[in-house]
Amino acid sequence: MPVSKFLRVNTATREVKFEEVPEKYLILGGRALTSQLVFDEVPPTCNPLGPFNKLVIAPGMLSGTNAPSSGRMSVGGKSPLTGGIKEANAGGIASQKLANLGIKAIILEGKPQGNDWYLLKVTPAGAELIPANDLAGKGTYEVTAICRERYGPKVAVITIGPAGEMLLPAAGVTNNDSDGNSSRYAGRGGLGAVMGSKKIKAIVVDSPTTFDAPLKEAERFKAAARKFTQILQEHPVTSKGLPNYGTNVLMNIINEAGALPTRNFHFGRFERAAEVSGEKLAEIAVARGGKATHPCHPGCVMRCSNIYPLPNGKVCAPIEYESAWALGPNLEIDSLDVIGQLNYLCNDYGLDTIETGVTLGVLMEAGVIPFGDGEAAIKALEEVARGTPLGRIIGSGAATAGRVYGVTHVPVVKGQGLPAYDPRGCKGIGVTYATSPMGADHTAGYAVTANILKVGGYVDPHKPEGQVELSRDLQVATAFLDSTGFCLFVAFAVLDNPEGMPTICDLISAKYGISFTVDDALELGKRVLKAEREFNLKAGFTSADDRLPEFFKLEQLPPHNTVFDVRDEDLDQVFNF
Amino acid sequence: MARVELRAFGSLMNIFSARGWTFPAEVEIFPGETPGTLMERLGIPPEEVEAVFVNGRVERKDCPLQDGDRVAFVPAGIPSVHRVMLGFYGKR
Repeated sequence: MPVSKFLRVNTATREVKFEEVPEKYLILGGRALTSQLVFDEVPPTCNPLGPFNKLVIAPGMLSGTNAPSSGRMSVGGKSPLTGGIKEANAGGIASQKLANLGIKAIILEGKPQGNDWYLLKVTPAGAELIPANDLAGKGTYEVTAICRERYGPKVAVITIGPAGEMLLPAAGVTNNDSDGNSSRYAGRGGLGAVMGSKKIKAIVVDSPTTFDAPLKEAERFKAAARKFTQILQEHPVTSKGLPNYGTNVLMNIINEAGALPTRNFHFGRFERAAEVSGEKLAEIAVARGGKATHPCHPGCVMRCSNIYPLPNGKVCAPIEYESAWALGPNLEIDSLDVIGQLNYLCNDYGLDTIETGVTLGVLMEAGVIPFGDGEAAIKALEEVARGTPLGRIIGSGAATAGRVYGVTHVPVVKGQGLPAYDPRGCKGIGVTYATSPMGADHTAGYAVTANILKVGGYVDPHKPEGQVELSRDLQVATAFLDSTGFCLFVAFAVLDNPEGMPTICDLISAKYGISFTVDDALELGKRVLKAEREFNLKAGFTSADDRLPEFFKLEQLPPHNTVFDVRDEDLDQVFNF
Repeated sequence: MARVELRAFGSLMNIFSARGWTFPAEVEIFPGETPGTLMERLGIPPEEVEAVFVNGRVERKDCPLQDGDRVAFVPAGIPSVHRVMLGFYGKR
């Protein structure tokens, strides 16, 4: 049974060593661990691409066990996009393999001289850096295929694309699903550029097991895992909605609510939304021999991913709601085939789909590309791989594109592009966008605890009242869930079943041989948020950074004709806990 | 004659296609009609409808409908924080 350890790689000296995990980190995982390590080891004012930043990759607290849907991985560091702390969360198969090798976290640190690229290979026998100049410049799909041919057909490949190599601030870190699709992104915040700055092109993880991470109390754990599986299988979100249509089932719903950002956040409805919806996606995918449902990692019972065959013979797996929106209605593009091609290129070049879509929207606002012109968008995106000036602007994110082209209608917070929900049509999420330490992030306030409904009851999405309390509770619960390795989509099964949270706590208790309560869970969530917030304050952030762009206050959003009117002084109360 | 514009999403869309309805469908309403009575009259199983939008807002199933309203039925199992944010819970 592997002993839990840190794998620390000094990329300047090429020293690779395993370390005993200090006691304070022993039960942490996922976001709690990446954020705490970044807080403890990275100087907040450092250059994100310089020698003092670190890239931390950590499986969740329960990853690598047979707890269902627990194979999420966190990637953390100081963000080159926001200048603040960042945790980006991904599915894929790497998390479970790392946990099965007993690796609590991989820490990439230092900054190498010279231009040589390396690959970090991690196996049960140890870890080593291998020269990888032959992989440089290649897209993530090809890198993953080469590594799986070279090191075994079942290895996990964590990698960056050309965007990460070029240190572009919209570059993400990806890893593959069981089929070898390199599309499971820790996409947000430019952590791909941090990995690129360390000159690590890929991390290959080879583990013979997937579900055998050590358990202190195995029988208790198995019973709790069975119970949690049942909880997920009994809830309509995790047993019906997600498995049938994936996350893109949200397209029609958010459009109906009038909160679907359309034409770079000018309108709240897109009249052709149904053409790019989850329902349409399932129809086309199945007709072409793809799949409407597919797991992003082994042991996921929700299977919200999909396999969308493209007309050019390639496969985009998956097209998720956020990507479909960013590359679709946000650009007034109404073709899933065009969206799929843009999504595939983002995956291959190593770009965050949300940031890329928001940036293309700003470029369309500037008149560089016409709104609705899918072919022009594809051509522009292809420039990223060639490293042209326009390509580098696209890879640098919406805030940079706005500055370069003199656009004021730029939907970003802390330099990060807003995701697929207009904050004027749903003000609670606007509070989260404004105040999350991550920058505008739709997943930051996702998990829900029962007390929200008791305390908050019904909060009118079009009114400012009650939104701060709602956002605060959501952010705390989410910070905890992001640490467990569970997918955020378990949140509603947990909310609706009074045994949900106690069962998660039981799993953690049995895994680590401790007594972990629901109160401990919320305390952990708060601790994570406080560490992240403190890092940002030390990095120079102020309350002025916890604001939405001005136009959300000034410009009404049709069809409800609302503006974002949560008061600044109320936004400043979110972290008052 | 009073009418509403009716949509349904996810698995409920299958009911529309099976019956050859347009999307959206123009549906006649009667005095005192609510989303609840409408789904009953149209033979849409109420247990399969988790939330109802009326003119882009989540409303209760007993909210009175007016001529020209835009109505949408949302099936059980829609993910995301919007279950709370938009009122799927609060308007039950």
